[in-house]
Amino acid sequence: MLTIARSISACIFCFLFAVTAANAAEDDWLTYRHDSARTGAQPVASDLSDPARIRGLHVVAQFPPEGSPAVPGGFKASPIVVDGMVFIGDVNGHFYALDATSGALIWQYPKAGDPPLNGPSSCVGDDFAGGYGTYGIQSDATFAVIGGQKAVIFGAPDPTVDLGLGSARLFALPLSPADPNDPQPIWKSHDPVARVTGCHPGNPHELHERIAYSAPLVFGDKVYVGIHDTGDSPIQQGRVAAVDLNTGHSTGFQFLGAGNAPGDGFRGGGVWNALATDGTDVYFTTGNTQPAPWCTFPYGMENCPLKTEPPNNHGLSMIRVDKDTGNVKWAFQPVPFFFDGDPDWAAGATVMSASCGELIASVQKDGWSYAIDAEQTGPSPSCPLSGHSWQFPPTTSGCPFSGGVHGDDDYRRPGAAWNDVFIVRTGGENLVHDGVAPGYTKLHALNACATAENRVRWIADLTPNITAENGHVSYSSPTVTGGIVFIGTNQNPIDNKGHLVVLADPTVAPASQQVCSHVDYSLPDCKAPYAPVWSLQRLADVPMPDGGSLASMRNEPVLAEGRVFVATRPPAHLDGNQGAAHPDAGHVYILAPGCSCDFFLNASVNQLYLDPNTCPIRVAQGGASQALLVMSGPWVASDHGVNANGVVVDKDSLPNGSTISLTPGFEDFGPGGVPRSDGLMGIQVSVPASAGVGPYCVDVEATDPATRVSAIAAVPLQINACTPLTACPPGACGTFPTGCGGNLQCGVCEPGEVCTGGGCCNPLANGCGERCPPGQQFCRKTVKCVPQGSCPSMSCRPVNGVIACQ
Amino acid sequence: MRKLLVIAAGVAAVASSAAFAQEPKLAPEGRGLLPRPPAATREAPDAHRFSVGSSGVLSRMVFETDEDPNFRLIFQDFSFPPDKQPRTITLPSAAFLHVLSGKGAISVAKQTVELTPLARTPAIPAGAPIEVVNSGEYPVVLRGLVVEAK
Repeated sequence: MLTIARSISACIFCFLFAVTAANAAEDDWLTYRHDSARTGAQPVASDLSDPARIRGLHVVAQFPPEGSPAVPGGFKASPIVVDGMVFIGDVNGHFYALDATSGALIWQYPKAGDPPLNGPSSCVGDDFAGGYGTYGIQSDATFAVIGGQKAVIFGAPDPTVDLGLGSARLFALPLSPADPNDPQPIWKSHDPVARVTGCHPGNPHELHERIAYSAPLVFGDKVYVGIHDTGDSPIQQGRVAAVDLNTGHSTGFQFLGAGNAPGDGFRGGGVWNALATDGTDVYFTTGNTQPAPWCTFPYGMENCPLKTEPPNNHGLSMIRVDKDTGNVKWAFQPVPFFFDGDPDWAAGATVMSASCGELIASVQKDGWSYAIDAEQTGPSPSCPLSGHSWQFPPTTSGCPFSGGVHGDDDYRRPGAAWNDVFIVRTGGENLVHDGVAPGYTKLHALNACATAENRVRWIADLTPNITAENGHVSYSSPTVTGGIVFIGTNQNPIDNKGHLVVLADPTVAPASQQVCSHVDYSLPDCKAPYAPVWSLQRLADVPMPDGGSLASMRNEPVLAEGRVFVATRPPAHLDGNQGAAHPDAGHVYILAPGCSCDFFLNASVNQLYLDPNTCPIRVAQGGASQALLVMSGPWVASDHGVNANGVVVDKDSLPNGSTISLTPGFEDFGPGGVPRSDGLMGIQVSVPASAGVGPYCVDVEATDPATRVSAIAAVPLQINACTPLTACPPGACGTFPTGCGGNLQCGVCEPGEVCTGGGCCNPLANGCGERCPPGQQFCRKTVKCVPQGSCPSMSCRPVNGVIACQ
Repeated sequence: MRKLLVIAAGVAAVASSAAFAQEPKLAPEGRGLLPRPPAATREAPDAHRFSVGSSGVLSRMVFETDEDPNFRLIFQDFSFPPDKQPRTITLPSAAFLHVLSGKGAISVAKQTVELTPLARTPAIPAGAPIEVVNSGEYPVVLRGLVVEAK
């Protein structure tokens, strides 16, 4: 029965994928976190899932184009990619459709010159996170099909309602408007879904609702969006709005984060994130219900203002609701009201189709991560968790929590679900009740179906030289394809630029270091229940050309159509940037994988690099050329670290008939006939005359025999057109190559001369050894080229005043 | 039943789409556990890792502030393994300790305090022996706030 259940779980995702794929390309990115399950995972293989190609990740296009000013204020949302087009909104309320290859603007809404979708600058209220109704478009759009028409749906303040203070609607626009110069919506949601009725900070009589951080969920005949507040000034009554997909009209769906009825005065439980679905119901997480001021350290009754918990308190919870009614099916609230010090559940729910069942996973703002078995029967899940449900860290004083207030430690970004692996910035084994511990900069991969002691799969320290003490570090949500993990950073204090960092699961690219699963302990002190796990190094690290941050609340590297799409913005206090640079950042960048002369390895192993004089390899059609590997220590050709028994070169991407080999003369053979070298090794590439002109990559892998660490590279190869020789050059003899794979017959040499190396020479007059092929020498005794060291020795004597040898 | 119908529709949709379109090549999946790193694998560096101090107890510097002209504040963590053995540390300056995790007892100047979550000690004089016994299954971690006069 369990097997059947697992198959059913997997098929639910088949269903979701089929629905979307029927109307868009399989490798598109149709909504925030890729899909309605919010996995953040691109399942389709491409060069983005090839670790060798990622070394050469580089910017190939941008919006606005080079030479044009950046988008003022930049982007806090991430793109979606559909049918060769990119869709994204900026913080000033403009929504753009771009060409996914060139980055060129196709259309924008509202059209140039019209008022943007934003509240007034005079009604910022609390400046936290941008203002009550003055936040523009801060979350992603979602692809949909409305009445057979392809469309994008996004949320934004509408300046035409509620006195223009920033009440928000959902907007549905056609993918390809009839008039790109004046796009018209298919619909605007009939009523504002989030309302702003005043601009006074903390005023409980005004509505300060927002949809800034909630990308729409399109599921069945409804569009869902979460309602939250602005910097808890004051806390609003959390809600989920659901409108009809075809008309934009409100539906009977109702969820409240707290209280008994809409507007009954109870507050809390804001929905700060995009809702998810497993094809049956709807999942999401909620924010705090306890307003400031919260408990202060040292915690105790004397330092905790007494407040009254609202009825139906669904705050700080992971929740499953009926898709039609909004009725709660289960709610998991690990931090009770008394310990609520604002650990909003800002990261949304991720539906994991794991081999052990369907899990709903997320990280709370205090740094604790949870995965809840979706198929709860009976009462809502509670601590301690059991069965397939779990918490992380599992081994310290986790839920049920027995003391201490939980606060906002900036663990706000959802994780990525790579099948059974949940990749998330979480607090780690060293997490305690509250507070940012060292370990803050570390990304964790968690085995969702493993036992607690095997939960940690790997840890990556994204900014090992930066700690929370000397520079607050923030990241985007991670995304993944085939085990290659992408994550953006804020502007770090070293180069003041945001970076796109790429990592690889050890199953797809070798790791070279280890660390204790509890990062506070060194390996000798890493005792049970902790254990050594892999520590990842960067596969690629691309600074943003405009220096902008990639760590906005809903920022994610989008993996679509074989490319990466990211959007930058100037830093803000939510990124924690101090001394921020590049205030004019604001671009969409399109990055493509490619070749690189750099190997992926680190300083802990023998050094190995490609001689820059021979890389890229340039070869003419029908010719041969080589790259030189320069090594500081012994390396062997690799087969991915299993048995070193041959060079791993991927010829799949080269023209048919190409050959790749170790260059004779550099080759040495170690134990077991393993090609190895302690100095130089040549990789020779020969291509046929029929090879197509253009750039190619040659994948190469080698292994440090001592550490078993492998180095990988995709060596660039440029095949150029070849013009064959049609006449023999002067002095040529015998068979002379045309340079394009053919040969010319070029006559014979004079008596006493030999034809060697394509030319005639007199061995007694000027010697011909230097013209012998590599690995051979000219033997004056036999008057021909022979293998090195095989020429018989000669005897020499004086003849007419000179030394003659025979 | 409703869910099964949805699933059936999904399977049908997949089957029908497969009949007309070439299936995309899927990227490698993330299943199963990784083998543990071999012992010879190098350890990743970390500035905040515990190491054995002069007292024989694991400790680490979390951070320190040096801005005040008269004193320096040092945040230092101490970790005691779950072996039920008494271990003693001393601190060069007056300090407060509070419990980050674990169960056990702490004794200072013949006064014993049970280690409970977020328990705090009174001010501990410089050089006073601090004895800690871990009676739980996981490490006891104490965070010390050391006030050092300049």
